[in-house]
Amino acid sequence: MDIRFPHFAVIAGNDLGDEIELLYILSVFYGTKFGEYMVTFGICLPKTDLTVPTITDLIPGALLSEREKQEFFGITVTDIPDGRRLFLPDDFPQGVYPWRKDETGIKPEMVRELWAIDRPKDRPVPPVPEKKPFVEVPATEGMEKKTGGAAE
Amino acid sequence: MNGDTTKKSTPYTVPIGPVHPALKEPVMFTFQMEGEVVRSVDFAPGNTHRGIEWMGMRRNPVQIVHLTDRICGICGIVHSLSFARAVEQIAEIEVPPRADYLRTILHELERMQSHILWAGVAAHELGFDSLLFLAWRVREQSMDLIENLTGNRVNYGIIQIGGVRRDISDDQRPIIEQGLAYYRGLIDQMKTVFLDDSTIRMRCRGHGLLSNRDAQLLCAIGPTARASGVAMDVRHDYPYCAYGDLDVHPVLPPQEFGGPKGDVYDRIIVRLLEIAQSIDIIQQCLDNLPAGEILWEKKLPKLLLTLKKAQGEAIGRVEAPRGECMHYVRMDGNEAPATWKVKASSYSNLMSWIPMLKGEQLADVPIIVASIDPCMSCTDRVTIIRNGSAADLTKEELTRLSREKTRRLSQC
Repeated sequence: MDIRFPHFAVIAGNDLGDEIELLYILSVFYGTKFGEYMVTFGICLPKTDLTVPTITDLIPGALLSEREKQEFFGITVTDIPDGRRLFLPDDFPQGVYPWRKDETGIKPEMVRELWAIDRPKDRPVPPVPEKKPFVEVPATEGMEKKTGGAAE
Repeated sequence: MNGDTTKKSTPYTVPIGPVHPALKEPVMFTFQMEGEVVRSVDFAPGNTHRGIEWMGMRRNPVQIVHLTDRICGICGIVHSLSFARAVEQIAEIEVPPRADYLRTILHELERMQSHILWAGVAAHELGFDSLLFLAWRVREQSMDLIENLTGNRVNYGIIQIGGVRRDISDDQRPIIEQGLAYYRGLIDQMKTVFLDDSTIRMRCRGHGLLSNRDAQLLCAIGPTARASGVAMDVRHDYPYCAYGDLDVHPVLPPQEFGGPKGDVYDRIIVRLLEIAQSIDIIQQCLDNLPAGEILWEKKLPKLLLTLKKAQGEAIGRVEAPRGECMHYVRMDGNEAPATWKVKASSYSNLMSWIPMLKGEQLADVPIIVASIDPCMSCTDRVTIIRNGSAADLTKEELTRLSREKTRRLSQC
């Protein structure tokens, strides 16, 4: 059987506590009905030595995925042709890796709870008065009749 | 052009973005230009990163399903479907056959609206605005159909782990049939308008070339890869939902158009033929729609309890309108998954921009960039506000350049 160039999908990663597991997800034999197979290579990197060689010399398309793993897991990909950040902005703190589950992960003070944020105080008063907080009124028989009448 | 604001010696550096000429979503491009010709290109995504995966790792799978709806504004089904499929495999949940068929119908309707939307955008990039309005008017029918079936035009909220949340009633069937008949009558007309137009052919034939080898090396997927002759389609190679029962083939540019060349024109052909294919698939689904349940478990607490006990890891794959969409999920017996990795389709396709744009003119950049149908919010997925980068070319200016080229070509 003719082996075609494998299709590289993505590198997924797990923080397992003492080590970080990288999963290289590939598929082979695509293009044949029911014939495609998923192949996943997993490697565990101890947190004391988080380096892994690049695979971009074999599969150039893996570059984005390797750059993403560098910034999100804090691993070092050796010989990577382009080691810049991919998704995180330049002003994102160094040494914080969003997908890590240890002390280098996202710190609680970095999380902004959107539900806890009130309206900004430095804005002009809105032209329409703000809604009063919803107070649940116990339904009575009279109210039900009233709403029923309005619907008709 | 803009010589006073950029470096005076060759190669010129022309930054474009992050607010983009071709897309309604942000991505930053830096071109090294030699005269009008692009010598090298660099791009920086990440302007719409929202940290969705991080948020998901703190929520239970039923909550995540609704979060996945919001990853992308256009692909409302594919992310929730591939996430649901990954979780279903971990928890060994069997989806009822009717739900599989309903998922397939909605999945294909989404492909139709997405491809027609793209066709409109492509026409706009070429300066063919009347075609943009016509294409988007035609798209409305599929949006209405989706609204009728799911209750929403976008963010459908139709997928649930173990099935779908709404059934198709007997009253709705004629509405779907009517919609399909509408598109069947239009497909030839759309082919004529897009493929027989000499201006579109001049602007797209031979531009934005991606060779078969490059498509494989750079892991291109979906219509981008198929236009370069790489026969891959998850629906055909690794069937999911009802696709195993149906007649589905990867659509390659046919011989009558000269076979796959890997240019922008081929990507238009593939997408137009896929609209026709989607109509056919929905018809097959309607004809064979089995009766029965649409959910594995209706009671959410029971479903959540099962998911809480689930342990293991799985990959959910679906063929999104732009190519393979993949979710990797690992669950370790807690309420929230231990790992959730989203691989959106544009994530794999972005690298193909580099060979496509090399050696092209600046005026061709918008259509080539748009030709892979990139979806930045899918790719980025996390939030960040960046300091305004200097953009010397405004969106209007670049679109104007592109239009002038169309006008120039149609005069000669």
